[in-house]
Amino acid sequence: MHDAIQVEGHDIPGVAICTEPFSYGAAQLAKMRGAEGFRFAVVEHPLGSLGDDDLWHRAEAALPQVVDIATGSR
Amino acid sequence: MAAGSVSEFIAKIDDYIEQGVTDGLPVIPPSVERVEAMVAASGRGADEVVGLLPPTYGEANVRDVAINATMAGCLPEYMPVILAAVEVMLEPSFHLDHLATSTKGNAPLVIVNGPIRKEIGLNCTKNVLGPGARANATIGRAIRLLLINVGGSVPGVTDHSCFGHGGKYTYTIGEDEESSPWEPLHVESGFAAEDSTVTVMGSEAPRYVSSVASPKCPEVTLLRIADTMSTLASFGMTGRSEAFVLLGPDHRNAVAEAGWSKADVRNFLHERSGRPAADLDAGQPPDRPGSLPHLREREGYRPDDWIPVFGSADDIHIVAAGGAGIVSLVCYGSPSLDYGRHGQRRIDRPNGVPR
Repeated sequence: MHDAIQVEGHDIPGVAICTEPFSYGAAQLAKMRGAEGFRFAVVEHPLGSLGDDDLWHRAEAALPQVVDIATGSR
Repeated sequence: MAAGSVSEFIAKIDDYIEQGVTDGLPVIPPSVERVEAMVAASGRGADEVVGLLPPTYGEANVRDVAINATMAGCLPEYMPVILAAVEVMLEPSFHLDHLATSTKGNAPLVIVNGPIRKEIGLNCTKNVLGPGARANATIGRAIRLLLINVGGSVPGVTDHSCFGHGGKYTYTIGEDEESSPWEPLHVESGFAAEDSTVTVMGSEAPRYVSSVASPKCPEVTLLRIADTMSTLASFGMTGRSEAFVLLGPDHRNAVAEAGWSKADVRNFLHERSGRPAADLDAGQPPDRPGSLPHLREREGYRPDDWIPVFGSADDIHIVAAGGAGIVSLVCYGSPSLDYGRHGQRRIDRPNGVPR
């Protein structure tokens, strides 16, 4: 979230991706950073213990969200 | 204090807890006078910037540190230690961002060396890491409150630790230099014995190592320490890490009496901390074969190849601490040195404060 907010501040599109259990914390962090409502992509948990195939499915689930956030309004 | 004043005081403490600016325990309301005394004891200006604390990258100045130190219950003379510890944690290689937010749940282990230990009453011996000494109890707590209130590392919100541990309240010790058979940690690093220093590492909860010690067979105790550092589930088995071994007096005296130097101990622990490659493979999900960095480094490894835990004996740090008995502790660092490594610096003392 920090990185995405930082690069957006330089007019560079940045989209954070997190898994569902971390979405509340991500939203709160954006609020603390003065960027309440900053949108980010959310995918199913977990990520860290996945093999390549499952990880690919997560990426497929994230992609439309990322495109929507990067090309839509914040 | 009049009964009404006590009620008001308690209400104020309750209010702080309600606001979420504590670690869950009552804090001392930071009066202007106390905070000013804290700033004065630091020898620095109140507005002097210490650094930006993740994950919100809130700017911490000396006054902020003084406020949180007051809330933690510190005495003014602890300020130089707290400031030095925070400055270590702000070094890029420490990766405070990882410690402040990660699921791993590490906490800053603060080790103090030099004359300041005695001046501020830091416990270095019996029951160290347990309750009893104000300096130990509150210095680590001040750092935690600063991370929460200025850094925005809020437990359960932006601090995503799967599990916390007692060290997340406070995790501060002094080295027991006076009864150590070896030179202390800071002298090993090139500081003068009369310097006071602080060493900080993001650390797991301590792991207990019990062993009856004898100078006739120092290897027995050291093997138990090496075994403790070599569990399959250890983060150290999945990435190169580092560890501080808090060696109790029975253990260090037996080893030293057998003629072993600190370097001998480090080398032995490095040689014996590890597992055969087959063990690591067996402890890895079958759909992720060879994903362990240790094994990826070794194309064509054989099942009986020895995979060391540490990249170097220099990643094992020996500290004299604790009381008489059969226990030492292993404090593991980050899952990988890429996610943070310990730092150390001299504690700057304001003029007029005796060294």
